[in-house]
Amino acid sequence: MSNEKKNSTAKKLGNSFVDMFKRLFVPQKKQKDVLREEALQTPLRTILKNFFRNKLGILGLVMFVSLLLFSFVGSIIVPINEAYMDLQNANIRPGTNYLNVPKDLKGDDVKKIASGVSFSVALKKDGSLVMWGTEPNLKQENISDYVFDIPQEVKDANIVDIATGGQHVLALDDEGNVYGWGYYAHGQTTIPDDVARELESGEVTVEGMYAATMWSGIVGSDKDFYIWGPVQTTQGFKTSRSTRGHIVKLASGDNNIAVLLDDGTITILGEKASEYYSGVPEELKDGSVQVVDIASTNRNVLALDSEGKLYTWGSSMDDLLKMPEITGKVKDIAAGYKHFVVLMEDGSIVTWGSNELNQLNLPKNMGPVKEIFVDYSQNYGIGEDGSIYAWGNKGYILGTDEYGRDMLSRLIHGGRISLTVGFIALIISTVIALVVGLASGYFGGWVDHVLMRVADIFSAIPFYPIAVTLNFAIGGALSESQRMYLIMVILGVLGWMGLARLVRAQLLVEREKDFVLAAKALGIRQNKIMWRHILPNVFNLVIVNVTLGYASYLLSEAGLSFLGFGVSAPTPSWGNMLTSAQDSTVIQYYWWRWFVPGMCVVLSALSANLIGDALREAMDPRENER
Amino acid sequence: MTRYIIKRILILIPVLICITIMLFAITKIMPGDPVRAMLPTTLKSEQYELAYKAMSEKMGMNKSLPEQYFRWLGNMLTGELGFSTMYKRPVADVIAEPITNTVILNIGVIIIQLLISIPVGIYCAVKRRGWFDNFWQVFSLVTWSMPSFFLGLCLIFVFAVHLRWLPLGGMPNSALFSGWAYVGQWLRYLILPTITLSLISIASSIRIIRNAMIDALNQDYIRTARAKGLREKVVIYSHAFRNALIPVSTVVVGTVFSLFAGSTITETIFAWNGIGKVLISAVTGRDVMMICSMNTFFSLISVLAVLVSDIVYGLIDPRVRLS
Repeated sequence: MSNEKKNSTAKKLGNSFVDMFKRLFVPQKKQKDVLREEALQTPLRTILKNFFRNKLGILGLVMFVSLLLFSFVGSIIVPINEAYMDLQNANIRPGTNYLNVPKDLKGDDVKKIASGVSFSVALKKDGSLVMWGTEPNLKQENISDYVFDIPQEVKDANIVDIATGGQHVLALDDEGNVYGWGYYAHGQTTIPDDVARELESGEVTVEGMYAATMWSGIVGSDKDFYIWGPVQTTQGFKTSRSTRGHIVKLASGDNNIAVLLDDGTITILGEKASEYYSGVPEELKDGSVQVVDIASTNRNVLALDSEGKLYTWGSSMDDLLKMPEITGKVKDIAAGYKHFVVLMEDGSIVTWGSNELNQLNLPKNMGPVKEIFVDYSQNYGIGEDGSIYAWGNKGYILGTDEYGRDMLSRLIHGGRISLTVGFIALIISTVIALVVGLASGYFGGWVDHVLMRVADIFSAIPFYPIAVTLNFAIGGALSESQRMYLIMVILGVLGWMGLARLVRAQLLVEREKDFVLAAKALGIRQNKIMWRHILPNVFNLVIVNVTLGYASYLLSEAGLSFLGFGVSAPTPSWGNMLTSAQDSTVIQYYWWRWFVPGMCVVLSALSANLIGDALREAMDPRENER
Repeated sequence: MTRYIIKRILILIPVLICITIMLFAITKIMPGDPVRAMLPTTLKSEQYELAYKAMSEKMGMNKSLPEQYFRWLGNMLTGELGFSTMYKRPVADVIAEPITNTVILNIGVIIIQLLISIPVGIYCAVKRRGWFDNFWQVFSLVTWSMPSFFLGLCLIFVFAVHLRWLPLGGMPNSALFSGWAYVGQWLRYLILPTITLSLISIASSIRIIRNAMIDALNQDYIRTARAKGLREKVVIYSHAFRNALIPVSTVVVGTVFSLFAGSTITETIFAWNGIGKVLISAVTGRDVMMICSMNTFFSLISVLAVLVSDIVYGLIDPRVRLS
């Protein structure tokens, strides 16, 4: 009891302090006299005043405007390539730190930097490892461990070489042991027993380590190549026996490996149907030129011969064959997953290929470079002054979806589509509702009767089943954009009944009111009474219901697209971005793929509801009573 | 009252006719040849042609459209729903179990909805602008703005994936459990879909009941009742609530039936073997007869909803009967 009392005294004291400060510092509103308080103002002004007094309404308005800006202005700023697909980068969690090289890492300490899809590992000259970027893996039994959990024995060992696949890391220590960790569903991280035995016995030492997305391999001092990973891949790579004992260096894509032999020629292993396999220039195969270095993207190869001349072949995708004119002496060549980088003797860099992930955008302040490390879409250059330059894929603010598409840009464009589809459906239904409701209420009689029965019929149509069925029956023959129009029409045509009934009822109510009688008594024409006196009173109701209706259209569109019968992929909409969340793995592990678009739907519908509610309260005459 | 009901049913007849014509039209515009779907694909070409002719004769495909319509209507009325190409069984057999499942799910939802929303709605109206009212106002606004699938996903994420209290979705395996254990399992699978649907339907019905109650409480007869010195409980429950029931009942009956169509999405997320999910899988499996029967069922439910809400309206409000 005494506590309560104390509280209330404290409150009073606090209030009086607040009052005092207000009086001192906040400009005071002039006290209105009675006349001004009671002065007439237009209904619109009352409504606006009431609306802006409502905090929730303002919140809704702010939310809605920011969502509009996000989707429509965002769509202009952020372009989207709907057909884009990059399975390498699928399902990566949100993170934009791929290129955030730790500040205390000096360029002169770095022996090698290797990168996976979303992380990088630096091997320092003292044999320790430094990692940065975003974890690409989930901890799943028999599938993967975290890449960032470096095993203790690796931390203790003196590492001399590293290699990274898309989601796993290999490390070699000075005693010849090979360690692997990260994604291991295909056995990429465990060295087969026979290879391990040979390494242990000291017969073979590791000359080079290689890792691709699915497999890992080493080239031993016996110039032979050991590979482990999924059986079908490794079988494909092992076939060529004639090259064994002559291998110097490898460069690999996912399905092919380019092998540099000790006689300076090149052999390709793996998938035979590709240009990677068939496009090798003759002179590189017959030994007329001596190749000294090779680099490979997923589908293309770049080779450097002893004269300093470059050769490239492979797929014509991603502009990888469009090698720029290169003048000057080449110092080093390197390749990411979809781009090539060439380091010149003077420290400058030439680069070409796909720029979808900013792989080619060199940093502006870059000085001469003495060493380059390129992997996947990350590039690192060690400057001659010892600084580390990083460029390429910075990461994804909201992660990626199952096809490796950036969630943020899909969310922006999906918002544009969802908000537009809902809006056009709303217009369609409002127009129908107004025509039917006004005709019904105005003409009455059999027109009213027929129209209301039509409304009954339409209300008896179950929305989702019929929408899904219609989409199936008609949608199959339509193009993607026509299907989008179909959705708008279905949503609009199946959703006008409630508003039409409301308009009719309100019209009937208003028609009986005294001011209409007064207008009639004044001799105003029927038409004018209708348009000038009755309709404005009906429109208040329409505006409120249209705002609330927008929320329900957003939800219906999302629901239909979620079921796969709305806006169809690859065109994004907030609803169809959630379609893949019907899979429990997605719910469990990839929260960013369903939670974020879901929240966007909730926020947009909520903001429309808040605005509608505030409008209703603002227009309700009872709210103005004192 | 009987006259009123008969009148309502008579009014529904043109509505029913229009809806059946529409459903028939939908069966006609469905892609795929219904005759071909009935024939085995192993037949040789001449045999096939003969069989095709015979079958289209049998199915009445060579008759005029109105004749086909009446034939179809007769089939629907007698429960001849056709043959499911996906399940290789008559449609009527296939949909019996899903219908039971959907009905059970929705009845559970309706009970929960009424049990929660009536007392809460009344209390919110009585203690208007109190913290309780504010809480439920915000709650209903937020859940009302939530797509059911998103709510369902969130519930799955919390209760099935993280806490592991409840199954992700689907139906219990009848081979693993028997007797009461099976019923128990069944209820466990029922919990999440029920909560999802209940939360969303509660959101709207609380608002409706609250607003109706506020209107009722503002009437003069309430002042009179209070002035007579009646206890507040009596005023609220017998004077205000009875009158508030008039708008409430129609809307509640309406939402009850819209649940059936709305549970399509929820059933899909939770893999609950109800008609909604069967409809979606029939559409993905291009099982035309199934799709048509499902639509007929859903339409029937909505027509019934209109009828029931009219009758309930008449029962509660004598004025409606007389006018």
